[in-house]
Amino acid sequence: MSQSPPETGASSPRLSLWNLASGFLIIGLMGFGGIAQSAQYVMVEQRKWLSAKDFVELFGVCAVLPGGNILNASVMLGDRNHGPLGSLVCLASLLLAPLGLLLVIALVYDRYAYLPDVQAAITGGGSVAAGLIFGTAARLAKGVNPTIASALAGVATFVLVGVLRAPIWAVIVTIAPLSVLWAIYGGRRA
Amino acid sequence: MSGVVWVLFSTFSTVALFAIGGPSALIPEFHRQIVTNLHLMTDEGFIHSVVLSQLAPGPNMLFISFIGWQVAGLAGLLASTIAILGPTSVLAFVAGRFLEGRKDVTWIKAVKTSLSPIVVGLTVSSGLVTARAADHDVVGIALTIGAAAFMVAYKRNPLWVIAAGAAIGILAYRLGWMAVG
Repeated sequence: MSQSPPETGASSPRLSLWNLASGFLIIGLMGFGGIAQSAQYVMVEQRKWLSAKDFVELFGVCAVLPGGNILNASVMLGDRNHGPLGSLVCLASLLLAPLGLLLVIALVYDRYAYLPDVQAAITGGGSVAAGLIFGTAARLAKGVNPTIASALAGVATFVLVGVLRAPIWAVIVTIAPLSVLWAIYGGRRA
Repeated sequence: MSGVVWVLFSTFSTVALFAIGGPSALIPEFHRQIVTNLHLMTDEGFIHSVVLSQLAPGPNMLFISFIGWQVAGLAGLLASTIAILGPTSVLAFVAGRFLEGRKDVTWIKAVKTSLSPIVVGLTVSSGLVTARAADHDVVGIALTIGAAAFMVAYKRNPLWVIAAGAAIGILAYRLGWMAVG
């Protein structure tokens, strides 16, 4: 669709390892309750590592690959600028602060989990977390093409995984390829 | 590596390769493995991991790190984190090099379009599995429905909703509307 100018990726100036490491450290630290916004803010607006269009493209690719989007993005951006070392540094910087805080939370939890108020708070939080996941599903559903094929794929996945508790690989090797084939040969081209 | 740490590592590194749609789509699979098949955790411990890992910033995948910690301490945390990140990071590295300079992304759009209803199906399943493990009474079900409605209606940071749920949980317990433990 959109014609991009004939630029090669390699010619763009390299970002310094320090710039990447400190940027990913901040992305990790700021990502309370969802990391996509903090990634967009640091990468596009604050540090100008990527244009808004490049950011969308990068995250589009990462969303198709297995694994967390931002984790995959850190590996790719690191490699583009500094090879495998860059990937390792970006991934480690991204994880450093969240893993440290997670450990603190775990230690506090281990110490106070026996208190009934703490139990009650976490139980309430768990019920809310379930609702937030349903809400996320509803939001995601708005972005799906309303075709019979996608309705079938969605319902079949839910029945297999949610109701029958089938393993996820069973869905990935059956419904996913059928769905992709349908998109290419059956339905309109996206 | 002790037995249980190896079990965590091998289980999570396999699941990682099927991890489309992120961790909130994967809860049924993790619950199936950890609670149902391997009996490494109870429903309660699993839900506590879901909630507490939300309190830390950063990638949601850290939920798996927290489970590793709960099951086998620091060794479990490290093994789980490496297992969930390792295979997918290698894949991302290879894919990134392969796609470098290729700006034609129509096939990516096609794959994304066809995977999106599957991700929705997985996420609804996650909601169901989480609700079944978390909701023991009317208060729990009401909180789940309320949070879902809130998420659909407003675009706020989910942390505030979890904080509100925690506060309501304490209140319901103090008023004797909700049992604990």
